[in-house]
Amino acid sequence: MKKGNPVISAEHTAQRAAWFNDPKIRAILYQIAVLGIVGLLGYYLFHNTVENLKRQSIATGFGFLNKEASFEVGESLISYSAADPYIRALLVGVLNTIKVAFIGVVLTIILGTFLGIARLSKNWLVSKLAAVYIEVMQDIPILLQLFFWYSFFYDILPSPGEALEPLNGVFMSNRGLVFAVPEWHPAYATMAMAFVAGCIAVYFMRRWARKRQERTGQIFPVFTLSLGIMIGLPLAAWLLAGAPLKMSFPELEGFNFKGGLNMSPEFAALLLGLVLYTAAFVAEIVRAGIQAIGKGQTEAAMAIGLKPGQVLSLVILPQALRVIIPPLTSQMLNLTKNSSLAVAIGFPDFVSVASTTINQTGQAIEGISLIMVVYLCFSLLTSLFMNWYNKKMALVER
Amino acid sequence: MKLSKLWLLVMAVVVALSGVAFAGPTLDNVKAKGFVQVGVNGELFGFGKPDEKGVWRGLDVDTGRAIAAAVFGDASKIKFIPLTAVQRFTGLQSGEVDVLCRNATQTLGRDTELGLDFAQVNYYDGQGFLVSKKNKKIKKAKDLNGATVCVLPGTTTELNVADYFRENKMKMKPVVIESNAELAKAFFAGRCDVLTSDASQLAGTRAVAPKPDDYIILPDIISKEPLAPAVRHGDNQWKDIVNYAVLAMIEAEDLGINSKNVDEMLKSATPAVQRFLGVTPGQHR
Repeated sequence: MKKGNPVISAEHTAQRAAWFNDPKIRAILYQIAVLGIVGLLGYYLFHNTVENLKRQSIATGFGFLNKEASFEVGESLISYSAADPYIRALLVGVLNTIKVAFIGVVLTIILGTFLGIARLSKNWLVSKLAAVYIEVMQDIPILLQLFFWYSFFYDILPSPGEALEPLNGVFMSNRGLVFAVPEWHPAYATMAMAFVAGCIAVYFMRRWARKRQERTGQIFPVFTLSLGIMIGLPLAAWLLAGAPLKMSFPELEGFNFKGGLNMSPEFAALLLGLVLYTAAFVAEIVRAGIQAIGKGQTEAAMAIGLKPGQVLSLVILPQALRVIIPPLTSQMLNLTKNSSLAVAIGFPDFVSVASTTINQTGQAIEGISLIMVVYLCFSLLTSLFMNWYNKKMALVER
Repeated sequence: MKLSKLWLLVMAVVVALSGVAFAGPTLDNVKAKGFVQVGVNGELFGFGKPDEKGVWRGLDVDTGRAIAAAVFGDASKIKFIPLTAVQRFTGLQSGEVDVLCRNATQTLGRDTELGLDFAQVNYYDGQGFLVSKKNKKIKKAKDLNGATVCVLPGTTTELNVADYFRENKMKMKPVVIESNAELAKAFFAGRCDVLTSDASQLAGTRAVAPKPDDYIILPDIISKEPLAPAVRHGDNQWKDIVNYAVLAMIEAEDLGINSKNVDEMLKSATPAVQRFLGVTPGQHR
């Protein structure tokens, strides 16, 4: 509407008197209608389910969570016995899923980045080896790979009685890998604190070094010094505590090893399968990210006298990461969700424990909704974190 | 695995969507379809498994055929649907199958919480342990303290074995694998010290071992497992049909009637056989 023409404007308003022709009101009405239909549909489904379950006299509700689970779970990060309630069994499952997903994601990113860079290597052999790896791993379904690795662990490795001992205190058998670990000593708590303190110190040192560089142009040896602080501080704490070195050695007792740290074949197979499979996809994403940066960028960075390492860390990576992060997020989600294939090779992840729960209680709908909610939470949290990180990286754009 | 999860989800959705599908008696439904849908095991030798020609064989399969014969007078009007231990009850609840003949143990919890009714027991089983003879220290179940135990998920087995170890203050480490075949493979490769299941299943598994003689079933039976066909709760007519189909087979075996001699038996002079085969009319005892 033009200003200074009130007559037309007024007339116009008068013409639009019919409220249902107002696009704004109409939009709101449509939205209410859609919301109503969705709500009614949801209510219909919910009501129908409850009615059907009632008619078939199937138990409903989440009351079962506090009942005794009375089944055992193979491995657990927290103490668990068959006398604990279902909720604790499910928590054991959630923690197992988090364990495999977290370690898996970290290893995948490391291996994937390494492979992606190898794929771009000027060395023909390195580049072709990486290419073959990527093609083969991408083309074989993950479930088959898991079966392969699992049977690899239990078929190739001997029984605990004849376990291989490649290093002193490391035993490999079809019951898993058993390591000797240092016996607990209060000095380790001090060391952990020293490490945290070291991290904080490094953070401030980096800020100071960057400011100083911006001011004076002088480069401070941040990396070497950071490494020194982060290793040196805990080491000093350990030496001050008298250098405790008592190890808990695994010993064969009855059917299996006692003591030390045990990594079951199920966990090892699942982790290995997921990492090797997903890393192939991550490698391609990393390659795409690096190739997305124009050659001119590298040449320009070289021309102003940056070293190759600096070219990568200051020029290429900050730009490449913006291309890499969004597809990387979906690979991380894939890995987490694929970990539910654990049930096929006997690792007690969340889905496996939830399946048993469903069967013992017969409450499939509650069980399935729990599975959906847990995976939704995993995915949303991962996305949230990655989106935040992505935003942080995207700001680099000028 | 992933597929079976999907399947469970589909079942849940079916339960949610179907408004009146289960209101009518199962018999009308079956007659309208023209065949009985029977949930069976699919992987278990002796109970429900297709032979090399693709013909279904086993006790549970034959129970299903008896039900079809009772309804249609024709044992071939039947469709077998293999279900895993995890899927089976959901399959029955949602109406995917009309009757479940899948070596399912009758329990109070399943009867009440799952909305099921169990018919006549067709096999009295009990849970046992299969071990390798190489492990000479194991002579009885009490020797299993600290053992790694291979077990199928979604069965009473998982519960019984945990109960047994708890009761005897022993420790165990379960390895739970969903597929029967994969589980057996892991056990034969030595991943576990012991495989536990119903004794009948252990015998079936042992029979397919690379070297069956290397394995023995321990003498201990740690549970009672009455295996029975199951139907949905509240359809008495259908339950009666299933019940008497099982009983008729037991009775026939008792009287010495089988598929080969049934025509001869029609001429039998034994009053019980005459009644059973309807030679003497109107005598249902």
